[in-house]
Amino acid sequence: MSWLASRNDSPAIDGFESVLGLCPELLERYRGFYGAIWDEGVLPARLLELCRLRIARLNRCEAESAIAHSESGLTIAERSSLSRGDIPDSMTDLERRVLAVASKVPFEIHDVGDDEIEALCLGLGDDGLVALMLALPLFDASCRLRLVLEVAPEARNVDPPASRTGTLY
Amino acid sequence: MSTKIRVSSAVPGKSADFGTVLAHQPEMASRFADLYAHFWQQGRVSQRIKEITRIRNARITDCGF
Repeated sequence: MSWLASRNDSPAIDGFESVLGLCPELLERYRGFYGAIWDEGVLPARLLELCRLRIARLNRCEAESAIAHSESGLTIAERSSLSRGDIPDSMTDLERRVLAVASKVPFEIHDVGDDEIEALCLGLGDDGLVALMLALPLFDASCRLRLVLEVAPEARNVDPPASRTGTLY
Repeated sequence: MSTKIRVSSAVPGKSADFGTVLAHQPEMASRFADLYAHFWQQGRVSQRIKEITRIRNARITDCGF
């Protein structure tokens, strides 16, 4: 339960959506943006899920890590590896390159090199690269929001973590 | 961090900038703009506070853009 609950007479506030729901207009716009990342299908759900969990681990955000996109195609072993802070051996070359950049987003953004971006451009195209560069900071922001608002971890299997028309987990 | 253009403009005849690069993903860009605009249009936090935090964040992130 978020500490926000203790400041209100409202019913218990738990979960990311109910915390952001204290600001309903903001919640709807946040859902619209975050949901579009998952809904648009520009990038494979597996790739997005890898990045989301990697960034959650780097931020040590248990609330984000507790969510599992059940239809992303990640195996239990891959998920366990990411939760330990490792990069799974089963990654493709492109997934490794994407994760290398994703790993720098939270605290080393200036270390992302031209060569890394060029490689991602080749693998994803300009359209895919832009989608990725919108997704990665949003995953990071999601962790920071959960951490600063003290959203309690709640293990959930979801499909997907967000949608423009669904629940925001 | 490079200052060279890393992604092309998606708008024919226009050079690459924040808007023309995001135009590669018009739906996501629109949703982002909707959210970001709301931050500035809503009145729960004063414009002064928002501008101070924006500049502070840019400085801490060392974002010259």
